[in-house]
Amino acid sequence: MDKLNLEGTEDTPTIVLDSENNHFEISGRSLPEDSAEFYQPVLDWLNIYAANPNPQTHFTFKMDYFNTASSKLLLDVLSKLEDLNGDGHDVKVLWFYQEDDPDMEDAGEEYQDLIEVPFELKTFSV
Amino acid sequence: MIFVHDLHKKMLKNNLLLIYEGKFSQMIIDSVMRITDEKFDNVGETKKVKKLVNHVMVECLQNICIHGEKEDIDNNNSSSLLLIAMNGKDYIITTGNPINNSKIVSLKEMISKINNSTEEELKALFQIAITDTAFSEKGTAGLGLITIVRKTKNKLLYDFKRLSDDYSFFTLQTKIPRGLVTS
Repeated sequence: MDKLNLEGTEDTPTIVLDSENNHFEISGRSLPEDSAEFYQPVLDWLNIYAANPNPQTHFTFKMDYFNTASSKLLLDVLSKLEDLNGDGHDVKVLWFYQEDDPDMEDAGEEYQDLIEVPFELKTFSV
Repeated sequence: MIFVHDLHKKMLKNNLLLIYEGKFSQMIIDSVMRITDEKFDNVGETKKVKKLVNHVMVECLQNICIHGEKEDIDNNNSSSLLLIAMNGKDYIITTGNPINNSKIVSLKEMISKINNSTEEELKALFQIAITDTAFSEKGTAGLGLITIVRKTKNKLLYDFKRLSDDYSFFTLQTKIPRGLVTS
């Protein structure tokens, strides 16, 4: 299927959804004016991918900052992964946060509480 | 010119780092963030403080963009306001915008509920708000306000000043203790 590749901007994250190379990642800052509109292509892509997923889907989140409107849409993305996992597929969320960023660590922990999917919290340095 | 000197004196006296009056858009929010980032860098502010202040500011301003009145009210009286002050130990973010009087009761109830919740209750409110599918395309204000109180560990201060039978000027103030994030 076609890959979805969005370059990050001041207000929007970098998004790579590439089933051919088994690369699934959202990273950077997310505070778009209309979060629902921005994330709709991501949700659409995941809906199509769910019909014929790879044997393994490891989805990376490496966020620097996101606003609360985006937090709701990120949960929608995670819920798609939860559904995929619920259908018996090998799914894992890799939530990266910078070592000195408790906000992103807390956010990862909150999502971990909210969804039923293997979830790893990992630190990274810039 | 006297006005300029008076304004400058008042800004210094009230420790105001930035005043913006006008309509808010995403482009204005981005510009304000760049200005505050530079001001923070000039005073050697920590990355954590910068991030928290910007986070609160973005939530407040995006709320105005989404929920604020779009129509011109009483000859362009629909403009909004942002003040950022630093009094040594706290950053104080104040926003103001006109809102329809019909929204006041529900907004007061929402703020009061958030202000009177414990940390655990706020976590539960956050989880309800973020998972509520009806909580929508437009209605993320509650989630933003809950997040502000959770992150700053301070109550929201607010005021409504009546402009007309239809509109009031809503002022919202948040205090961000620098000590929360400097350690």
